[in-house]
Amino acid sequence: MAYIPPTSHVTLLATLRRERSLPVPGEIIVSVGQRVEAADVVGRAENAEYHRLLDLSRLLGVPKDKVGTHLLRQEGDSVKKGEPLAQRQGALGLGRRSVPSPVDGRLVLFDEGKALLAAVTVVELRAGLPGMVVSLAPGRSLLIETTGALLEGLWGNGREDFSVLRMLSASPEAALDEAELELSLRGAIVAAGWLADARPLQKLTEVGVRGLILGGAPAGLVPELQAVTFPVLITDRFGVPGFTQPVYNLLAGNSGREVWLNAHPADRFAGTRPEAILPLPVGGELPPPPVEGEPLQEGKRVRVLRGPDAGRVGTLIGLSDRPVPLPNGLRTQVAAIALDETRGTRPTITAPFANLELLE
Amino acid sequence: MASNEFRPETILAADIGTATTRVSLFDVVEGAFRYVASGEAPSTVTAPYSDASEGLRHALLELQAVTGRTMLNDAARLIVPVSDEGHGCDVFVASSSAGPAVRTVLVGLLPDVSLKSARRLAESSYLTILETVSLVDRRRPEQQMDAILKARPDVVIVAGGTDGGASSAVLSLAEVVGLACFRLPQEPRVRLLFTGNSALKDRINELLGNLALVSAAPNVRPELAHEALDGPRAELAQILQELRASQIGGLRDLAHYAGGSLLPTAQAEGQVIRFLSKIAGSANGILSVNVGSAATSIAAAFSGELFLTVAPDLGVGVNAANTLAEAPSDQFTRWVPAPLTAADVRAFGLERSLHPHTLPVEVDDLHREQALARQALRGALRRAQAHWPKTLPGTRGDLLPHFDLIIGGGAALSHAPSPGAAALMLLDALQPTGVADLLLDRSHLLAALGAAAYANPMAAVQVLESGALLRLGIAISALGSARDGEVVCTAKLVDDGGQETTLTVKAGTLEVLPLPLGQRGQLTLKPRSGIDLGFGPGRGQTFTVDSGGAVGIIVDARGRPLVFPREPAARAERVHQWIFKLTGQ
Repeated sequence: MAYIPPTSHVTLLATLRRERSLPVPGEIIVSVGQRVEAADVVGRAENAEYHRLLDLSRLLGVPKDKVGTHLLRQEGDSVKKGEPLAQRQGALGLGRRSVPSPVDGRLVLFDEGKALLAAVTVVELRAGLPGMVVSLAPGRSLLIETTGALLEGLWGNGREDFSVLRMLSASPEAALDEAELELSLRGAIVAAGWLADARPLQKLTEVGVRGLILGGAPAGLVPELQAVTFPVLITDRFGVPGFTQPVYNLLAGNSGREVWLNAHPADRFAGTRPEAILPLPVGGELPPPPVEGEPLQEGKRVRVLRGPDAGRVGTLIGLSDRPVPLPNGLRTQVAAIALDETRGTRPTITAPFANLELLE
Repeated sequence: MASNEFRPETILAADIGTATTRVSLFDVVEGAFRYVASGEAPSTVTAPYSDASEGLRHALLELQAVTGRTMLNDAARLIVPVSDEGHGCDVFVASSSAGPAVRTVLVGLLPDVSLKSARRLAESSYLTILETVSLVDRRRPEQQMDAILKARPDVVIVAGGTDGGASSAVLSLAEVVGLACFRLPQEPRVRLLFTGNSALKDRINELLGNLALVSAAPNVRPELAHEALDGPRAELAQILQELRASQIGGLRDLAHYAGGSLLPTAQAEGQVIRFLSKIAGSANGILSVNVGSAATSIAAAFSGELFLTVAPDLGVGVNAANTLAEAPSDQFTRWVPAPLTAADVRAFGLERSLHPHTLPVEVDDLHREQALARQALRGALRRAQAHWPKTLPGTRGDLLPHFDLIIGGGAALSHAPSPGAAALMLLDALQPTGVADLLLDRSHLLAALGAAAYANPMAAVQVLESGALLRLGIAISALGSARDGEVVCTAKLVDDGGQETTLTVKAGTLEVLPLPLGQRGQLTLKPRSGIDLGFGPGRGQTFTVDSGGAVGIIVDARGRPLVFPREPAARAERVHQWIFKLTGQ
């Protein structure tokens, strides 16, 4: 029976579609068929920071059912802080009472003599990556299509940016060297095989880089990586240095090109992963989209995720048809893998199906 | 009985987990239901599938391969009822624990009354409580509303007011909830369960019906001193089912096949535990634990009353990092013989969460995996015990009260390389007291039987009586102070053949008297003065053991709570000894 492992994409060229969504309903200001650049604003929405509830009946000193006649703003109107919301004229024009808005925002509800005001800020949605708008969900989201290289990562710190990629490591395992962080890297998204400790992060901030792609980092650095103001993507493993070779090849081969670094954490149910997309132009026919959900079969490229050979990459050359015992006594189906690069006398290894991911 | 009454003879049960989808087949053999076989496959509830059907189809194909019985027709539809050729099943039942965290807000009048009951209700299912609002909340109404908005709830549970009791205070809180619902996105709409003063159901519906998907359940606190969870729990299960069906493709069809019902897995398991407790008629409890990839559940029943607790954030896969973050790292490393740094532990937790489906290959990694299961169980148990009555037999401080029967389930336990490894995980994590039978749910049958019980209550009884769960043996735990190496008790076993085995058990050790499955024996326990084996300090007993187990009779004299040597090398050696004693490795 087919076993379908997870797939990680280290794809040199594919047609890619990415949804961009407003955090709250608002307005999408581009149209289908429109070409967008990464920095373009494609949507806007008002985000309520907080609310204030005003008892206008009490503040004006009028019965609840009479408050409506004193309102100076209607539901949905925007209001400025200090502007009168409602006003009552006293007898003979004396003793005027006015209720000012306590917030810059919007009157969102008026009911039973009370007003609900939202203090709002405008949030702008940027395209993030260059491409063509291929569909819209009005007021909520849009789908952008582009062509380019795709690198799916393991972990992201929740930020994103678009800039030029600079590979700093001369080899897949090379660590980020603080001494190499020069001002010429300002505005770049830099890549290195390993971050040994937190010291370079301060320098990266001072230099003004706009992103960091790492093969691995110690798990203990997660709080520091989450705290930096630029996006950080870990591509391979925690606690183990280095990019796997295909990842390194993709990044090194595209150093100097623009990259969209989307370091939002993986959401298994939404089907999103932290990733880097390097937009590349194509002439003529569009390349196919990335392959998903393929079964394990001989000839497939795989990466080992766990066990003594974790991080190694190779090609499947055999699949067991029944469970076999592992060194620790567990029984499970295993695959034989011809490694890309042999170490010592082990050109092939075995690993449980469950510990493999397809590299596409 | 009418002659044409439908009497199902073949029940197919499916359970959709975050990591694994399992199907189990039960059939009538010689007049009684028996467990036939199971099939399992990786779940497909997450991307790129986001549809439970594919994983279910693979699990069914495995079941077909094992049994030779065709379950799907040419159109890949389930064959129901059984065909003339004997294919398919008569009844299909289903349960599920899969899905993203269910963001939940609790609203109640008083923290120690209605809010407490609402919390117990929420904690008995796969809900993550992010915010609570009550009468004693000092925030202004709009701040309470902002707190609800910040939580972005999928579900709001509103409790408060005994039946015939408070109403205006409940309605005031409902107004705050209404304002929040008004400001929440209308698509998808938040689901609201009202489980307060029954007299307010219509009023709540009027207030909130246009703003949220409102369901009403019986009052969770109908009287001040009386809590009633069953009705609200059933309604909550329905809400969860609807929510999951809107989030995961294929679940709606699955529920349709299952007669409209897709039970939460923990609730299905709890159903069986409650039932076993009722028929046991013992003052001691019945306990079931299940460690999953995302969640860990604890179902305890005392005299037929069920106490169900789900820790939706503690697991050995998706939530491994959360599990490890809940306690200091030395709580985890103490179970692992090989030395580990705090950085190693963090890396392990992160990698497990990011690759939840993977398996350990080497012995050291297996030890880490099993330590993780212990931590998830201990964390969930702490939460569960907070809800249990304080007057149970054997209750002493934070120790586990006496349970007659303990059932372990979930992949970390059921897929352990040996029964001894599973037994040790249970003993370490739960640290039982007194005398308890240990069973292992290797094929994830408890949830299946709980779901099947709705279709045919006798099926669950008959399957359990047939020995479908693996009997690991009996655990006898010694309580009382003794120095390391001092003799705590002697245990003498005389099997049916008259063969006699005697053990002297020393403090800090555990020992095993082998007694195979199905064999009877006469066991005599003689504790040292002050040591309690469950019969009172210093009291011994002789009793018949009706059946041994895959492990045998385990006498655990390691102390409660477990005592570890402080020196790392000594601790590692001790842990190795415990592992060797139960697994032979």
